[in-house]
Amino acid sequence: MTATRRIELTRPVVAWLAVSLLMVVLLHARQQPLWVCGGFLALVLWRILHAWRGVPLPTRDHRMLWLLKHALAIGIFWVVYRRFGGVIGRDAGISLLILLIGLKLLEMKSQREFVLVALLGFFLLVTAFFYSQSIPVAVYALACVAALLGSMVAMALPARARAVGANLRLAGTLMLQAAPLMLIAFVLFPRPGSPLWTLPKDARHAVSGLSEEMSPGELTRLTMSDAVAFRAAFSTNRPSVAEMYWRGPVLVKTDGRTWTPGEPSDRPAPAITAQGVRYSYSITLEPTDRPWIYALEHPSSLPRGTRLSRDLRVLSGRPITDRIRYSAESYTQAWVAEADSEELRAALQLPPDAHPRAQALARQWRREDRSDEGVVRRALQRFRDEPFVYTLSPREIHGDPVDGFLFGTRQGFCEHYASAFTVLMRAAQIPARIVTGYQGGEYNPVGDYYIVRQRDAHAWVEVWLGHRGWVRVDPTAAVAPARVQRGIDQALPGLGATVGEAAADLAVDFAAWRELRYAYDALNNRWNHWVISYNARRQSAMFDEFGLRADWRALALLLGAALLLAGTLLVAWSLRGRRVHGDAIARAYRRFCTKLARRGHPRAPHEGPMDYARRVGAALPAAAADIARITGLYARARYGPGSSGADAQALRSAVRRFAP
Amino acid sequence: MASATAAGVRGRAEVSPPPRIAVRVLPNRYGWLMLLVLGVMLLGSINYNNNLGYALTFLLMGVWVMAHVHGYRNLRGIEVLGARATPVFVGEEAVFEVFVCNSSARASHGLAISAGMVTTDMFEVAAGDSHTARLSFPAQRRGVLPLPPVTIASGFPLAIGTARIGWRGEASATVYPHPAGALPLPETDDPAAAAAGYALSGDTDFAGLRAYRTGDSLRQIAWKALARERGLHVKRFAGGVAAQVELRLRDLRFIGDPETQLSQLARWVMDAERAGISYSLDLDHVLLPAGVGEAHREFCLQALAHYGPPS
Repeated sequence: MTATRRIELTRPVVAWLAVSLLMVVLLHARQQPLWVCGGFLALVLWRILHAWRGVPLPTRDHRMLWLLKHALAIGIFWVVYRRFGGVIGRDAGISLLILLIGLKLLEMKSQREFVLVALLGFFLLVTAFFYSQSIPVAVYALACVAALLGSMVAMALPARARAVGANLRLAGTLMLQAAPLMLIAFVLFPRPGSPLWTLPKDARHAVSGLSEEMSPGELTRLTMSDAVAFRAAFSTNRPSVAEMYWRGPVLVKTDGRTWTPGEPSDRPAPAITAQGVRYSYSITLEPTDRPWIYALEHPSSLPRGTRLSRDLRVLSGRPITDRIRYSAESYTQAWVAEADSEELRAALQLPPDAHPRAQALARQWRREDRSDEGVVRRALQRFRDEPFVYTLSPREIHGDPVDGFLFGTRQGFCEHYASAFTVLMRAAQIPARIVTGYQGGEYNPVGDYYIVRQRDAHAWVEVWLGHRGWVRVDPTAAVAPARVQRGIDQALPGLGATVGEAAADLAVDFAAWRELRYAYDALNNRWNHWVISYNARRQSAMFDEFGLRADWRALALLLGAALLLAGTLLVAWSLRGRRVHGDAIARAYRRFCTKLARRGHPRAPHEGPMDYARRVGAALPAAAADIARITGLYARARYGPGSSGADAQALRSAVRRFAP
Repeated sequence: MASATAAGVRGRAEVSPPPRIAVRVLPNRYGWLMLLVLGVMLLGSINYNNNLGYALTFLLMGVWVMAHVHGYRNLRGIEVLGARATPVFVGEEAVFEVFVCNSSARASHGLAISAGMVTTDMFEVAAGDSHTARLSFPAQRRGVLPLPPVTIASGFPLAIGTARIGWRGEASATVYPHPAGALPLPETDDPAAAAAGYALSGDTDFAGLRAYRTGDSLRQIAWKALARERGLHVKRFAGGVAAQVELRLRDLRFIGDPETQLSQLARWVMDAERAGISYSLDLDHVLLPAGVGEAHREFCLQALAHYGPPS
């Protein structure tokens, strides 16, 4: 039975926890409303002021403050409820957690409450990963863990709470020693394929990316985003940027303004005729929440579990909610010469009353030129010759969007060109459809891959030219060849509209900075691949390589065995170390004591040397003089002023000669 | 416990040798609470398939394990060398000194010793160093006050687990009867001394050295002679005429219960000692011949402490 002593929470101990919690809450500052973080800061300051200035805490002794605290607690629930429409969702739950930790900090008097608050701090930290799992967040989280563990050390040893460095070192040691166990558990812990329970509605980020619908302004919005859509690494040779058309949704139906896909078809994908170089590559796709993935036009080999649709999209079957990585092979020189009449009829559909001027123009071309290629050429010629401008911010079009663009503003982005071109083709009885996707990419020499960002979103056109099948025509290239050949950054200088991005663009000019950015992106890619995207599939793939079947039973067994082994090694390693046996003086004196003990006079543990000498001297009168002399030598060597090596030497030889 | 152990010299109580001590380390309630929180964190990480969540949870689980290893290591070199207590009178606080040493190469932090309901403040012992912890217990009954089993515990490093070593030494404190009673010292047998009015054997005139004999007062040891390596001697003084009183239990049969009688005897011993009168103690079956000085007083008080079974 142990009587435990109540441990006071001294100022440094409280300060430790306050600072650690502020660090954790700072991680949430980006997502949480300002009043949540501000409120937390105020509560922390209250606690700090109490510790340093004696400002009263809301205890029962201060009735008004006590009531205020309860009012605050109720108020927090109410405000969070109003703000988020509930207290269950992710954001609301975290707001609530932050503020309740703040309140708990006010109540904190004992060790028990301290530990509870510190543990809640760890919990709050893990919720930050729902928002971001980037490298900076991970590094910062490690600092937070060290601070929280340091707080716990400070609480366990209040007398040493001020030794900030020592406490952090101890926390760091614990974390370092825990790292092997963490790695083993991370790799071997069986990952379930699906969530255990339904995730709250706001569990996932709102992802930006291509949708299956295109109306004017749709892609323009995407091009404002620097976010990475996917990264593509080519294994051997890589195509030129101008050849990189990453195919996404194919849009067939139109109401004159908005384009949508055609009726889904169960028919198998058409045959692809390919020639030239085959490119094999792997793509790390950021979550899109959409049931398709991107591949280079046109793929010859697809990742497992996907299929090619009739309109040559790669369908994944279920929405991509997590970052995935897949490999594919493509030929950039490939044709599809297979289509049925239904498809071609759909690719000629136009709303009867829409775009009268464009339709009239196309019919005129048709009359003048019998070949389809001739009509295509005329349309592209028109984009080149007339003063068309490729711009992200076109003047507003009133009335019919296609007529207004072709004959009025003549300013537009790829979506304007693609839809106008398709309308012209269809009016000239040439089947045509819009293909959306991404075009190009930024090469990262450090990681040897292409970064394709949201702003690389693009729309182009496929026309059906009888004998040649579906042929890709990119009307944007007629207006702004640079867009396709060198990427969107070159075609639209000053793309970054916001101040921050403008500054970044300036900085991009510095080669070193660019290099650094690439290195960082490459690091991010590795991180995403090895850490963030590690999942059930990757786990079983890894075990396949070792010829093991990765069912959860085998994993659990392996996990247990590995943890046991590593744990044993760790414990053995950290428990190594010998007993101290003191210096030469202590050794000599101990030898002296041993000699006396053999004569039946052991030194009692608590007995000082002088007491011992007196007792043994009386018991062994013959040796009393020697005993007293050696004890005197020992005292001089150990405690005497200016004791030197000579004293120790004299003691050693005296002990050696000593024979009681 | 009737036999008066003659070995007892004040400050030299029973000491037992240090036995090999096993460290036990177990999670305390904070440790279990932390596991609970980590379990919730793991569930959340599984459900959201959040790999950094997994990593943090596993890291903290590793820290949890290592904290217990550190707790074990913190106490591993700690040994209890022994414990002792100086005799006290009933009503006083018996202070046990527990001698702790750290034979490991690392400092031991956040130690607290507890025995019975008493716990010391936290202390630490540097590598190879020792520490004397003091535990005081109220001495309520005459006789022997044993030290309850001793536990050294530490929550180092995170207070989520408690490492403990137990020690069951034979240390005890002798509790003398409370010196009380209004009776004056009995009449002296020596009329001359009585006439001298208890002339003090004050340590007045130095009369030379004689060899140390067990039981001699420490105050009389010739420390200078010892330092000159001439062996243990005591100083002798020529004082006044030593008076002598006989303190007999049977003379007190007429007052109160036996404890009251023993208290009166203790009072007399103290008074005689202060007056420097040579006194003998007669407890019927124990007879201590006349003498004076600290050692003699200890003998007498010990005999009183251990007299018969306490009522």
